[in-house]
Amino acid sequence: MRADQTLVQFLREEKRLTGTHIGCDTVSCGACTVLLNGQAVKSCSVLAVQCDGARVDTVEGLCDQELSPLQQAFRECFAVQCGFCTPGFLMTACELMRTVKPKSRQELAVQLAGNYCRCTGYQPILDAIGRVLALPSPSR
Amino acid sequence: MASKGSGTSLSNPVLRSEDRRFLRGAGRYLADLSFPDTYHVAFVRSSEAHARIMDISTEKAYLPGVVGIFLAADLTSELGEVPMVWPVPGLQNPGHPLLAKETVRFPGEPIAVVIAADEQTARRAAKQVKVTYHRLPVVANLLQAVDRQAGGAAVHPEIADNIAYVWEREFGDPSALEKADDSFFQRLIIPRVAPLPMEPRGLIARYDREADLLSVWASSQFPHVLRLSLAVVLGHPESRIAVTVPDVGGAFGGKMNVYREDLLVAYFAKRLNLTLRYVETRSENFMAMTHGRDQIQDVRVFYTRRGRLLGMDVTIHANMGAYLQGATPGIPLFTAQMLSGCYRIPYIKVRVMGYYTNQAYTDAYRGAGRPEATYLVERVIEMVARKCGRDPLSVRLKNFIRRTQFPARVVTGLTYDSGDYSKALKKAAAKSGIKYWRSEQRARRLRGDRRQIGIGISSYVEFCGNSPSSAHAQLGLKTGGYESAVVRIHPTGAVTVISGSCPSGQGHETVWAQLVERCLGVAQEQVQVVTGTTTGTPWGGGTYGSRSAAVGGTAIYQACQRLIEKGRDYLQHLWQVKGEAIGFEQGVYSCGTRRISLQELAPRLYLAHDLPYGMEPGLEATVFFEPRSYTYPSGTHVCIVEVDALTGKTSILQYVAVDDCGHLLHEPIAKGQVIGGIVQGIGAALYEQIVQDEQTGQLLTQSFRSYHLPKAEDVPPIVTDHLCTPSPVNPLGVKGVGESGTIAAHPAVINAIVDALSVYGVEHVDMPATPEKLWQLCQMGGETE
Ligand code: FES
Ligand code: FES
Repeated sequence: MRADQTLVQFLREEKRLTGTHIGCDTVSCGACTVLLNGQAVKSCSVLAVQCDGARVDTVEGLCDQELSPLQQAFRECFAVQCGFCTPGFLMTACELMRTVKPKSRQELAVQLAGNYCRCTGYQPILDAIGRVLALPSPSR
Repeated sequence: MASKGSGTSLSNPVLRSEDRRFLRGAGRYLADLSFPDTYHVAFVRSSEAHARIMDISTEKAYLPGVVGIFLAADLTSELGEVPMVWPVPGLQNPGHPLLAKETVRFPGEPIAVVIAADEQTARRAAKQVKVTYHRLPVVANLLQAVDRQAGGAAVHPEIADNIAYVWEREFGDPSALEKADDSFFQRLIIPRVAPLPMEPRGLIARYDREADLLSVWASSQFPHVLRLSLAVVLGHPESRIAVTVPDVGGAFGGKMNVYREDLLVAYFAKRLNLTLRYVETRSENFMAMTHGRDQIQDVRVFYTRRGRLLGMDVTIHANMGAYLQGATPGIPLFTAQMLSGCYRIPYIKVRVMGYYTNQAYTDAYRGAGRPEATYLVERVIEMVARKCGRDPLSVRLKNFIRRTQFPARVVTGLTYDSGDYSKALKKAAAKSGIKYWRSEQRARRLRGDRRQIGIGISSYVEFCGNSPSSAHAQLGLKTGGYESAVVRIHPTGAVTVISGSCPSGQGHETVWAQLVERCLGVAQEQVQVVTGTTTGTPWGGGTYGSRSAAVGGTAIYQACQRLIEKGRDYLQHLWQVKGEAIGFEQGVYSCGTRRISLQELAPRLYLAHDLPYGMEPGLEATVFFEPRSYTYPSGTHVCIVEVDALTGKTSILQYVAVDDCGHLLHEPIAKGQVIGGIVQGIGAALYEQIVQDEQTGQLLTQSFRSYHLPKAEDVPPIVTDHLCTPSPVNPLGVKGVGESGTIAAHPAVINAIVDALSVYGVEHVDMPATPEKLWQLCQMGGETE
């Protein structure tokens, strides 16, 4: 492992886990989000060496055969278009579901500020995560 | 037929098959592909907007692992330039070299190619290449070019006035203006924005010297066009280039171009006989992917006191950037074509002026010229309503093309296929509860509330189904507009459908399989969809201009029809009955008590033991569908905003979109396109803008930190609804849906903001309507009151 290698580079290049994506070079977009010891982090912002001995969860580990309820909700809400941002949103959502547990759609939206999506306009992503969190759905 | 079939409704939708891989992190985007012995490419890019290159020193850049560093002088002279396919008459084209030679003309322009064993080394080495510049005066933006404020600065010395071309047309009858009671002038500025797909661009190329085969993987919207361009520019046989497009992480027009980087990576892969990989960084994506919009529109509007729009005299100043990409000069002509909007306007005079600036090239970005037209027309109709003291809804109704007038020819020469503009408007108005918001608005105005309500309406029409090739000819665009499809039923009855369309997130795999199921009665699971490859496929146009459903989908539909006909011909012979006597429903032929499915016929047609005389064995069809006309989606969006006069902050309280995209092939996917498109439009209306320093030309927006992309919390709940006037120009009755949201959204938001601030005497605000801008307007208005 190179000393200057970021976690996302390590995952993609050494581990061939390419589900974690790179969408920027300023730690902005969240496409690279993974769970580091259960916490959502942008894996382009940590060095791989810093993660020695830590537990890292990536999108590849979210399910075996069947999609998880979160993934299923994404599918049913059509929260995926090009799919590039999707792993990042899923990992952030995993953390939110366990820790923050937003109480409203607005709160959820604020919590997702570190994840960008250029395709969906966020609405179906909020629908999907909101469904898993059992948030009241907005009137359409 | 498209309205029938199972699983298209919102209540019981067919889920997207591609999501299975995307949700597991098993999508394969360009950067995910890996090949043995790959070398990496980085570019030395200009840090200056406009400068003479005095010296390039590569001495310190030969780090361990660097294979080569190449400058413009190292390229072979046979190498062509970046292809441009839209030679507008009178165009001054300065050419588009692959590397800057003596002069750099925009920030980020490639100067040298660095090739190294790994990506980090390549990038580090590129930073070590020292370029000495002599700064030249810059044309830092379009306004400077228009005002010639640049102090005589010329982007290209041979084009002293920076004018790329002037294109003029006079449409309709100028005597219509005699009935006008009044006229007014308005300048509208549509800023430069960036497409910003979440996946940046990239390309991998490898060369097999034995086979003389150049294999290329690219994040692109059109593999066949890329192959053709590589063949022409590199002088390599087109038949020995294979282009593959893996999963594409968004495109929005930015990937419907062939760039210098693409050509250089492929060129060096062949020349050095190496596998080369280039994936741009986000900063590079900001600098060197095409930008969109960037027009200044000067409009004189002629109208009657009763709110009838009689004519417009329009000058569109359009920013080309420093060089021309594939379609750069032509995009503003799309604006000119659409200037009649949803209305009967008897007279339109238009002059399009293209300018060179020291900025990246513009080209198609979601909507490509049509958002600019809709913005102009919808701002104009709003201003007419205000000047006449009339309700903007009734002024629109008064000027609309009526339902009974379709097909409707507008003065700009287009013939709109179908629509019901009044119905969409009324539906949107009812759904958004305009009456309630008007009374709320009155109440807040009366009590001088700091938070004012604004109601913005946008009725749009756009053209999709790109394109009838003859329409390209008329506008001087040197491409065809058709699309191809192959539908192949294998001997086992399994189906492969090959489409020339090329997805970047629109769900083609799902929709094409569903379409084949509906046509041929073959279960979707048995349908293999092939897109994004030039290997073993007919020429494909690609995916852009909301064309996949109307053009690509129709090609698939027609190929299916041919197979059904072939099966029927065979059965005529086998059953000894007339063709008309043989029915076909849900994949099964029947005549009296006899029944056989198309899939069951497949093995017999491949066995070919009992074919009628002259019938070819096999069961496949190739179709090139040439549309006879554009399709014209339309609709009305209503946006309700609240603007806080003390902070200038805009909150969108409600957004309602009623769209008519003809028949929908897949309702939730279409809805997703509309909503995603609206949010891109909201982004441009409120936040987004590419900015260069006025003096130095430095790019100030090169990352997500300085360029505000809409985030989840910025987005209002969007309510969608649709109506359907099927398009008569294709058998599916579909129109296209990829761009309509973006096209409608800009004026919906800006009209709402102007409406809110009209209490402060505000008549117009240019995009992006940032808090600073709005706050200032409120201050000024407050003072004059
Ligand atoms: S890659 Fe964009 S935040 Fe990590
Ligand atoms: S689905 Fe494409 S960026 Fe989110």
